[in-house]
Amino acid sequence: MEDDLPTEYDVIVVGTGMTESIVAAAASRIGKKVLHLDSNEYYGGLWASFNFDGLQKWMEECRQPNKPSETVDASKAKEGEKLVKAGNQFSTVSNLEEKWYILEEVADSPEGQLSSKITQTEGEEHPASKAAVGPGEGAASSLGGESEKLEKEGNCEKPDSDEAKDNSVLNQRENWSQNKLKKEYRKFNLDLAPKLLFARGSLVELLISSNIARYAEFRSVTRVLTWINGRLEPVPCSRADVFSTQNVSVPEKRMLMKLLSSCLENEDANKEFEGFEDKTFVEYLKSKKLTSNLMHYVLYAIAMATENTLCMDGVNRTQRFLNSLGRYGNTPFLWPMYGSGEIPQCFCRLCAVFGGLYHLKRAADAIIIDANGEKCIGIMSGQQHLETANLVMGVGYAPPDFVKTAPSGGLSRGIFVTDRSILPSDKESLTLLQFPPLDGAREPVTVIEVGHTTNACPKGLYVVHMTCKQQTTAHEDLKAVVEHLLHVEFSDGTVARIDTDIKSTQTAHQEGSSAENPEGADASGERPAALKPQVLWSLFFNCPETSQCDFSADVPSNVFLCSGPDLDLDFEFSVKQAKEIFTKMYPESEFLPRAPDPEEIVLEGEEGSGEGAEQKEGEEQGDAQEGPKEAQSEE
Amino acid sequence: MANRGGAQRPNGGPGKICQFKLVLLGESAVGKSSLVLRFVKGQFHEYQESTIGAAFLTQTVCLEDTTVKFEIWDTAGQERYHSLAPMYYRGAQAAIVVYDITNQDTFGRAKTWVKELQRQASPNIVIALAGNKADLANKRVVEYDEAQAYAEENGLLFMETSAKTAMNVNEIFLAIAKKLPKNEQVSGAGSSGQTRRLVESEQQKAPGNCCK
Repeated sequence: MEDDLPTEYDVIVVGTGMTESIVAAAASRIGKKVLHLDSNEYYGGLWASFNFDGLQKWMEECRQPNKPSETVDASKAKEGEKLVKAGNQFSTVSNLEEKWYILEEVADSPEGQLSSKITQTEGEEHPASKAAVGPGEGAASSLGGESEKLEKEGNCEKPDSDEAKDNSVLNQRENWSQNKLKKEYRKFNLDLAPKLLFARGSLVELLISSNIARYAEFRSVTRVLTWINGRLEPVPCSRADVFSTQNVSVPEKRMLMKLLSSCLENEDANKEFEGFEDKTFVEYLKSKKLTSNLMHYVLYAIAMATENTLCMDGVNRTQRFLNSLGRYGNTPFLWPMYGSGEIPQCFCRLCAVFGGLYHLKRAADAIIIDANGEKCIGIMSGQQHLETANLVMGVGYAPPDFVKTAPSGGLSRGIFVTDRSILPSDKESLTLLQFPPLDGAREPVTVIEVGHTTNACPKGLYVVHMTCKQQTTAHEDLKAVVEHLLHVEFSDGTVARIDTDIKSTQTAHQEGSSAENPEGADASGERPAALKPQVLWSLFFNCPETSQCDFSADVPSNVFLCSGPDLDLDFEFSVKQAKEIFTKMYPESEFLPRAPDPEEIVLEGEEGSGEGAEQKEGEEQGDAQEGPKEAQSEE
Repeated sequence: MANRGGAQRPNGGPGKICQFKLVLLGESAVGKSSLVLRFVKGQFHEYQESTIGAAFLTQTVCLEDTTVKFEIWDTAGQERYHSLAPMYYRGAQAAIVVYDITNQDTFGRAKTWVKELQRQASPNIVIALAGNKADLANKRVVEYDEAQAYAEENGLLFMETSAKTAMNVNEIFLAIAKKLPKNEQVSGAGSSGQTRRLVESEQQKAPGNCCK
């Protein structure tokens, strides 16, 4: 039975993707009456994050052939109105490939499984011991962290049995079966569109200035890696990193600092880059006589550019990276706890807080336009005729007639659940790796690795996301990078990998006969490489990339289309697009002014007691009255 | 935000200060916002409009050696068409599921919300069931014993409350405060150590600000 909704709005927003959600929040914030619909039962559309179960359901829906579209009941249209059926051509996911690399059920002794389970539960239910280890250490799920924790608990006899103990703990922990993983489905948050935030990027600034930041929590990306000379290396990104790194010689360090400084000095930009306006960033770097080592760091890891990137574009990208350093953590990046899919929801919440109406599992079946096709009157949703002054719509729902000039670009995505980090360290890392184009033909691949401290997966596992521009299929496009970084052979969890752990970094060579073959690193021969992560489960898919589409050509003047996920690392594109749409609708109004905090509002007669921090019960009061007043005054 | 950071530091006062996220759940019009208004401001409005603009309130409760600061989240109406976002539950250490003792449906829905919490929220969440509008005893349709039995079965705190008369309002928050683990490092759904809320300048990122 469908719910009856009020029938008149200032803005109807269809789809809860990133741009749509920001626009919804911005309109509601200035007192506009907003209805926000999504035909899915979840928020975010192609921007969503799912737990393991949710992702399975999503895949099922994707695999279903397009439902025969319901005919729109033209009789519902009023006189002088035309109905245009909503479409779905840009929400179609293709080349979906899911694969398991582990047994469905582990034929283990029940005792083993039991104790493994206990070990895990202990890890979670003794926050006190986590606390004792101190912030950060509790987050470590590597062997080092684990053993340290056991020591702190005081029931671990060492040192002689230390190694055996570590190994046994590890063995139990690694004993993942499909069923066990599925049982832990709630501990996963897997992103369809994983995005990082530049610490001084437009989204971070918007979250702070609008006060939406209070709805979300983040973690700093702990390291930036690059792939150079056939292996992974950390990229020195801060000044301290540059000075402490051993991968760059002292003269190189000076060269690098000089180059980065000149990229940052805007005033001298014209002089510095004179003559390079039409040349590539690589040509500029070459003119600076950078060593190939440094070229690689700057081009691929810092600017995250390619050989074709134009000079000024490369400089801007370098600036973006450098400007975001030093604000939060060691790298320029933040990652949202529980995944990128949280961010649209934060904007939706703000929209709701200011009166926006939310209805999931509710579709816009048709767009109602006037007889001339110049103006949108509203939408047909189920049996309801809903009128609106403006319609904002995710491109996935747009009628084909609204987007005639769409390019056929796409994203190639890979999601991998693995049993260890691509480059183990003593603490759990949150990693960004921009994998350079392997040969001229391939696109760079963005690799993001997250662990359980971001709630991406259960403890002991990692999630690796790969994204690149679509050329063929996701599987094909990502294959080379997958093979360099991950172990994608089936593993029944016995001999081969059971005695491998981080310590085997030192012993990997003696065990060279095992299934693992870190071929990339062997080539250098300088040091033994850590074993590649075993993939437990993987998913490949392609989805449309619509950020290049021209959305204004074929739509009525009060209809605004929003792109799906784009290739960029951050949400910058969506923020920009949302702001543009908002400004077209309400040119006079402020875009997401700061929402009030409860603490900052002082009640009448309470003047001067704003510093409520020390107040005791009963004295500190909230903004229940102030908030609504403010909202109403703007209507 | 500065106050929030400050509030978590002991500031030389007695005992420690713990901050918890508490979410409200329940059907529209059962009195979720009224309960919070009564608790936070000591006020009651007979014809309280549905919550606009103020879906995020704070209030402190003093226990013997601890000050518990509640960061109270209201649904902002997103429950109305069953469209509450999962982010609402994230990191919530406590929840009050509210029903109206004069409306049987709302009690049924309360049970659904409890299930939803068990499905979506942190496994250690402290849940309280509040049978609100206890001042309307003459219109009662949900029996005290029935709700009490249900709460016991599911390990919930239970009280009948009245936002209008203030009956059991402070008490239910106090009961929750008592039941919450007071170790400062304890938090919901795995958020530990280095998670952060974004604030205007990093200076405000006091150690206490990022661990709730």
